Amino acid sequence: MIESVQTGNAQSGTITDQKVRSIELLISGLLRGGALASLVFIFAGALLIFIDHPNYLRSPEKLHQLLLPGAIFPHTIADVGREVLQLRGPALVMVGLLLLIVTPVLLVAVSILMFAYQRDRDFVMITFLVLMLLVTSFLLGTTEHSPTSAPANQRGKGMDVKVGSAVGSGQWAENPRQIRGGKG
Amino acid sequence: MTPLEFLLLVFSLSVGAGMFGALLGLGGGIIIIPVLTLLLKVDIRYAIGASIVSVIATSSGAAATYVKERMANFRVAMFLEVATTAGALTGAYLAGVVSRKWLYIIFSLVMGYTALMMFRNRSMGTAAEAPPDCLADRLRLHGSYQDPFFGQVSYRVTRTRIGLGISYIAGVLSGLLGIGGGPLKVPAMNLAMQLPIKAASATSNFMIGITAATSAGVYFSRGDINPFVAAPVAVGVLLGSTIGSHLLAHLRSSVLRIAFVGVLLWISIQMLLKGLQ
Repeated sequence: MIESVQTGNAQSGTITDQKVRSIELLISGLLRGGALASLVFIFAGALLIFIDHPNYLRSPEKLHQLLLPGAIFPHTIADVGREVLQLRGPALVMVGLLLLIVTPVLLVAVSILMFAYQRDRDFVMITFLVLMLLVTSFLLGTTEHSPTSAPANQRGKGMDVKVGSAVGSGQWAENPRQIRGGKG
Repeated sequence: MTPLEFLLLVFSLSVGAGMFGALLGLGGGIIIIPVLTLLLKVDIRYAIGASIVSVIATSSGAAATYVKERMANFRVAMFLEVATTAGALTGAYLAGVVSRKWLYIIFSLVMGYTALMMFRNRSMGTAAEAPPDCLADRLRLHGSYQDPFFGQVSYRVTRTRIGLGISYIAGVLSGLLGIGGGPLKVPAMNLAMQLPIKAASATSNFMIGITAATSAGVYFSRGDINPFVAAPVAVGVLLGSTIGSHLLAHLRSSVLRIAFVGVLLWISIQMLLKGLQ
């Protein structure tokens, strides 16, 4: 595309190029901004955690409580929101992680607006379709996980990760059986 | 180990995972999950939750650089993302119907074959002759990037339909088996659509974050994202992938291809073992 800009119809080409560039810079900035905001919350939360629990610096026993099943930390939006207002460290860290998670979805939404602004009708449709599919799979993933859902329960044995992975994650080794298989 | 030592150790290992993921267009779960479970005895659920966060962090850290430097092809990414997400939805529906045992074996063979193809083409530069593709022209998918070895590298995207098809299959497989699309999408973009390997890896990096973000919501609500495990991973991987993304341009494509072949073979063997169990 750059080639055609440099050779052929220079004027219209440059305008298109500038438009594309502005999208790219916006997307890049959004990703960086999301990551930085996330880091700020994570570090603030970590600081609070160590202020509240000075023994985390010394005591090895505490570690197991934090890593084993049943560890206590907020995992609903409501809990996170409430505990952030109480300035609790784990909740602040969670806000940081949630910001990181939301950034790519936000990116897709913003790019729809950018393509619309540039009257790139094909790509407005493409990005809109992506957003709709993302929202659908998110909703399906959530409902499928509800305890009343039979398939999710059937798959509970050793495949309890299936529901989440069913929505399509970006990496391969998220199946617990894989690890167990590796061990023996 | 005290909690502070644990955090610092997970952080440092995650920097390495982030660099690795940023260079190869994969999520870094290959490293994160075994390290957390086998080495540090973290509960598998928290390890998986952390690895999902790692995928997003890899993508956010690396893609910011790649999009800015035009290494990632933003338009190709969005174009293929349609097929990947649709595939993931299909996979979620098929999950209860299809036998996983055979899927693992088939997938393993596909991976092995892909590794072979990438190995045979390891010294192939950018596409010599790209068959014209009217969809790629219409959607202006062609791109170019700056390479320290060759200067400005321009490439023409081709075989968009095959690319869409493979991305769809990658999505279905990730829905069925919990295997991310990265290992399939990079070869699809490189071998079929004729994106240079660096562009393919960078574009895949951009895409995996979008796909993983949707599943991350589910992991969060299930309580699998333990801040004590996921946060040091996120911080380390963000740093590592940002560093890695600046290294990509300076690596030789042949080195990148060989590394990718190694990862494909590794995944292929793992899948085969699971299928034969």
